[in-house]
Amino acid sequence: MRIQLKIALMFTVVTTITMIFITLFIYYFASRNAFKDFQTRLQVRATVAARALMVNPSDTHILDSVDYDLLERLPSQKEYAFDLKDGKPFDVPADLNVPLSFFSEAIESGYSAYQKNQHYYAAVYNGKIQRKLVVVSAVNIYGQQYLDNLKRIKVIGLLIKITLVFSIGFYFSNRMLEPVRQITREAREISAISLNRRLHELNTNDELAELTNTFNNMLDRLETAFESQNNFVSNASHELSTPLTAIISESEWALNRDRSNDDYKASLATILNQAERLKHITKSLLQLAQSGFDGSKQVMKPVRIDELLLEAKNTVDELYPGNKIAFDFSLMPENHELLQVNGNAALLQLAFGNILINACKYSDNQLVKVAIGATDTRIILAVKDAGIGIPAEDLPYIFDPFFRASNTRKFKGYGIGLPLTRNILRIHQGEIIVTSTQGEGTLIEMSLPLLHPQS
Amino acid sequence: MQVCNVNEGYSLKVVKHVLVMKHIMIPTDFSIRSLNVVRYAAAQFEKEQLTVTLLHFMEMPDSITDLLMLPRDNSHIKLITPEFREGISLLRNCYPLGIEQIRTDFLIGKGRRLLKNYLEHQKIDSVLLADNYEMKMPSLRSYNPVNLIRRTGCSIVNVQLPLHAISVSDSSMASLLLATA
Repeated sequence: MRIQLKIALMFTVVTTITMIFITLFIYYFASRNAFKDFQTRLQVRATVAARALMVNPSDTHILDSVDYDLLERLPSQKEYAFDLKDGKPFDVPADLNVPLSFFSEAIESGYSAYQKNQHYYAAVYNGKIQRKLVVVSAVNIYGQQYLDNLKRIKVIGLLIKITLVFSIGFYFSNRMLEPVRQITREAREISAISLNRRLHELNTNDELAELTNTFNNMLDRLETAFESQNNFVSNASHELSTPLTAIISESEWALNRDRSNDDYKASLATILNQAERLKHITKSLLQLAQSGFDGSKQVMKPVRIDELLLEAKNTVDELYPGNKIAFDFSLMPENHELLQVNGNAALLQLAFGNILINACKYSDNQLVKVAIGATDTRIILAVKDAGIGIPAEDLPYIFDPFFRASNTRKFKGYGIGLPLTRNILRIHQGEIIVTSTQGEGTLIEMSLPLLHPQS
Repeated sequence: MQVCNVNEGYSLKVVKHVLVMKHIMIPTDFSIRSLNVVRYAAAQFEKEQLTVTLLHFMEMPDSITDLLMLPRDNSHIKLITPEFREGISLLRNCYPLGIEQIRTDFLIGKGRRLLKNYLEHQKIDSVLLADNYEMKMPSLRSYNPVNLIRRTGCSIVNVQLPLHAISVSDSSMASLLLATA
């Protein structure tokens, strides 16, 4: 059963039970009052009859005239008068279906009442003067009608209320569960190839917003792991091919025909040189992709940003030996605490490495300026190159996986670096802002929250 | 910083290197780029301990109701952007010893005598002016104080702000970070 229906049903059942209790309560007290009222009316009639008998003891028919004059006749009203003066037993008429205690109570206390089904009986006995017992009986049609009416209203009302409560419950549970359905819809659309999509963050502060956040955080980590693998593969295929081609062509040239000793030596030296470069590249690539391999231990611990930056630069030096990366540490804070963030060293190094590689690659090893500074809450890194820049119309898409700007044709790449960097910064609650002018260069500002923010 | 430096060779003569306190004023428009002048000052007056007042100049309001409410009006505080505050904290973290204090103030009104009084009252030693920086006007009542300052006859230090190779927004933190001459 769907949760929505369950909630609606539960709500209906609870409300119905409460309503039934209230209805029974009302019905019980209403019926009690109806009986009491009728009993009083009967008693009045019995008393009037007894008084009439007192005025004219012989004429029993006088009862009828008195009733007609002053009191409305009750339905099936009958009067009986018994003379107990001589103390002998009297005949009880067949239609007076009452127990003997009814009479004895009347004789003892002067008044008694009895009720069976809808038949009501009242007896008045004025023993001091006349010793006459007057019994009046009637059928309580009004009370019955009133109670029947009440019952009908209550039952119909109850049915209407149940329907109403169920539909309201259904409507509200539907509304309440709408965010859940939305999450399901959106989550269904996220697959391995669309890992960059995220659930819409709810701007409430409830459990569902928490669920969405948790889900998005999980996606951040998943996507990062996924992309760092991709990054490694793409970098490897790209960076390894150049020295491999050199080795192959050099060997082919040497083997083509007989060469002089010096030629062989030169050839082997080139091959050795390229092979060493290959080794370097593999090592640095592995270092770059390290985070992708030990994904099981993405531990956060205090790291120093300037150290990570320098290590990233060393890796870039291996891959792009001719790079001109210039660090500007003139605005670096003097207090070391202002350089510490809580983060994963391997991931952050990967992120910085990617940015530096991009800056070198797309500017053909022109000057790349890197500056670092710290405010009271965050560390800010700025990387500026004088490269080809990013066209304004491509700028909104640069963080989409596999997207490459339209002016990057002459550079090899797979469009993985920037999305990965953005994800790594996101995991660290950091930010990345890219501003660029085509043909002039790109400025990248990254910021990371401090481990110990100053008050 | 170091207050005294005892030279053992001259046991009787105690050489004291007391840091000179210096109070400078820099007109500001609350852009990050204008903070480069503070950076310049910190580098230039390395030996002194600086108190920096970043002063924003505003004209008096011209409506009577605004004039009446002027002592209670705090709306100009909103001109100080969060980025600007961050920029100040960045500089303070960078020169924790050289810069004693960076404060932001407003001078409301226009006039040579007013400015002179302010400078005297705050005991400001010199005013730094960036020659190649065109001030922005963050509010309608802001005005460019350069001519006024020049006419006041206070000690002025002219500063050349570094120019950027690529256009960086004046309000972005990079305009401060990457502005090396």
